[in-house]
Amino acid sequence: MTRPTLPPPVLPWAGPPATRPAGDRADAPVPATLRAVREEVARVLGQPSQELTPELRLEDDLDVDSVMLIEMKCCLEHRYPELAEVSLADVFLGCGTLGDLADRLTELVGLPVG
Amino acid sequence: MRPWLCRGPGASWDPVREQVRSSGASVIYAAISDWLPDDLGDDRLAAVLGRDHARLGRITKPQALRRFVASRLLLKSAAGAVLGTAPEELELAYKPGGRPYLRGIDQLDVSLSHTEELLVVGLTRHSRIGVDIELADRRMLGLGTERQVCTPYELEALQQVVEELRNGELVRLWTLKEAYSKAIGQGLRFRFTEFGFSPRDRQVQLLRPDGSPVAGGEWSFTSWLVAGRYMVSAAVHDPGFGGRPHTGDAPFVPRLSTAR
Repeated sequence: MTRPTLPPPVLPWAGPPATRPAGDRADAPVPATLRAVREEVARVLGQPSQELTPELRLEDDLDVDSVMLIEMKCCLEHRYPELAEVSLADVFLGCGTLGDLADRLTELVGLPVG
Repeated sequence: MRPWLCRGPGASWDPVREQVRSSGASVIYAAISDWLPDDLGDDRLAAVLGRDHARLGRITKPQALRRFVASRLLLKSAAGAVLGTAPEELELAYKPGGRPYLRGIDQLDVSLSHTEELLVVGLTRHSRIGVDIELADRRMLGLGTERQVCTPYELEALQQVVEELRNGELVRLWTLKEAYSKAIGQGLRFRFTEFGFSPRDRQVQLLRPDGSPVAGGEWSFTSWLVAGRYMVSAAVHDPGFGGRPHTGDAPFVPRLSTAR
């Protein structure tokens, strides 16, 4: 199914990051959603968020399984309560990397959730 | 049917052939270490893995790489034994949701799951099978997980389970749900809160969110504790046509998320 084209989301910027993931341009701020993804994935995996760069793949690089996806959604819901109304599939399906997941999160929390 | 422990490529497949012959389905489990070749660069491995071999270069986690190789070898060997063909003659392909199938083989359905050091494979000559495995003591309770995966009935019923058994029951419910969603090819698109099972049930059956049973007896669900610490569940669809492939009866799909 082709997804509808969405207007550019309004990013919930949260100021300059304390640390930058490797691979980011030095002058580029890190969106709040990417920061949230890195911190919550780090919490579930039990590894430092600084190691979690946007290009890392959930399955092949991080060995994330389905129970971990559920845990991650629970953690992200604490930050973005509107995610409680979004299915697991709508959060994670099609997200290969942490960067993809942050982009998905930006779509979901930056737009009305139906 | 009990899951059968396969101790490596040299083991006899007769028990699996017999299970499939007598009941139409078989569930096999194995240790990753028993199925991992000494040399991952061996040309014979490339021949057996086929298209899956290209994936090896993309998996960076050593544990995930070991699991990937061992699980594909186990699945293809088991399927080959039942079909009477060499593993390298079978091509494992994947549906859009990730469900594995044997390309061009419609008389055998397959399913695959793994956790830690153990693999599980399901085979059926009936229409569909799904299997799932988890550590039986994996912590799921108290993480908010139950709200994501349980129906209102299951949440209430879990509260009736004595506390020391409650997490284990949640793990069992989860593996049953995963097995069913794999069997019907939905995976994560399933809303796990809109279908369920009952904690501590003897005759496992599919239930609606309020706990009422879903009509139709073509699905069978079973859970086993294997190797002392792993929960394995299987969902098998048997349309009752002598094991012939059948696609007529739609499975109970309560609500799908929007496809992405």
